[in-house]
Amino acid sequence: MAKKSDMQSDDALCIKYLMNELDPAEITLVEKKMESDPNFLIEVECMRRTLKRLDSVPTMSPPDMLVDQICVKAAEYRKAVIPIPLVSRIFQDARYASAAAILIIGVSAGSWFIFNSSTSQPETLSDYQFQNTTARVSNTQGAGNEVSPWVDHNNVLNIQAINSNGNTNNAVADSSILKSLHKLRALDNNVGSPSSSPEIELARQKQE
Amino acid sequence: MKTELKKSINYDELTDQELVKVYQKKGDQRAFRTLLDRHKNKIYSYIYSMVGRADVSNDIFQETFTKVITKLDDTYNEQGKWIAWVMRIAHNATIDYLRKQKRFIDVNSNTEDNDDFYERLPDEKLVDAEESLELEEAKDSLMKHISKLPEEQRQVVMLRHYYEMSFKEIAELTDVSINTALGRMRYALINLRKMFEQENGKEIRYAKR
Repeated sequence: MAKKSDMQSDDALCIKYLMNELDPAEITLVEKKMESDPNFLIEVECMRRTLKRLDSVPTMSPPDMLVDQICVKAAEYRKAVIPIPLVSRIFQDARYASAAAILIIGVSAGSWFIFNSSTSQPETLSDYQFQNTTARVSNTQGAGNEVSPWVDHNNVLNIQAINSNGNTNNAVADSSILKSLHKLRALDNNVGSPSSSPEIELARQKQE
Repeated sequence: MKTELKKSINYDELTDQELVKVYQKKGDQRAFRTLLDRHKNKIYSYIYSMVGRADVSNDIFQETFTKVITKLDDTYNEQGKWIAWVMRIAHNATIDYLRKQKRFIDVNSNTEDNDDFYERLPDEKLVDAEESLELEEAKDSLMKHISKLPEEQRQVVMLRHYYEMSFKEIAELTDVSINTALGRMRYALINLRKMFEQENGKEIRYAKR
């Protein structure tokens, strides 16, 4: 068993010796063994001769076309992968940021404009009448009388004055209507679309 | 100024690691070509010596460098030798192919491929045609013998010959112990010696006739 392991270690030493992979101490050891053991010497020399013949193993070249293809592929891949320099990246980021800011401002301004125009213009005539009449009439009345206008299902504006006791006050309502009528002005025909300007009928509701 | 600097780079003087850095950071195609030119013959020869066919060698060579290009940023360790890393890829690709084939590929088995192989051998400056013929014959017989070695032994011989790898590196690459790698080398040399002796015996017999 010990003999076998010795042989294995001799073989390993022999190969390492031929391949120049031994340290100086080991080289001395192998050379001493070669001097003392002729069989070992023959073994080493045979190996050396065989190894020498391997020096003439031919070297081959890949086809030039193949090498060119690989180089082109390498350049293309690198171009796609290589990181963009910091300055260019900052410049690019700034461009993206300004484009985004312009877009946000544009969208905000547009939505603000649309929102304002939709809230400032009444959608229906009755809305207009109700909002405005309430404000004006209530301002002109005294604290004891409340005038509540409303629009009925025929789109007729009704103004009814109710006193503090909860009763209707026709005199106040009439005076309010009269005052309001004084403020009415003839509409220009060109204003608004003809289809969207319904006729206004003012009437005093008579109490039974 | 930058272009002047670029022009002044002597790529041949740069080490492999420096060339890899230049290619990695600047995408310099010349740096990559210099690397490739420096090692292509060894890598190709190793692949060819293992598979024995030009078309397959071309495919494996291309596959190897496609991996080199795409995996450079991920798996290449800048501290290590670039060529050792490439060799590992080439070796693995070759072994994968051989495993797929599941058979020992004899370089001698296909005459057409061998013709192609010897046609593309580098030209040697020879004194006369007779010497050239003798050298070609010697190379021919050597390659035949090498191709007859078991795959593991051939691997060790070729890695040592083409890449001048240490046995420690060969052992790591082939995933065996150093002693196993040394043993394979020893058996390869013994087998080759027997083949040379047989060949010489035949030659002597022919000469006696």
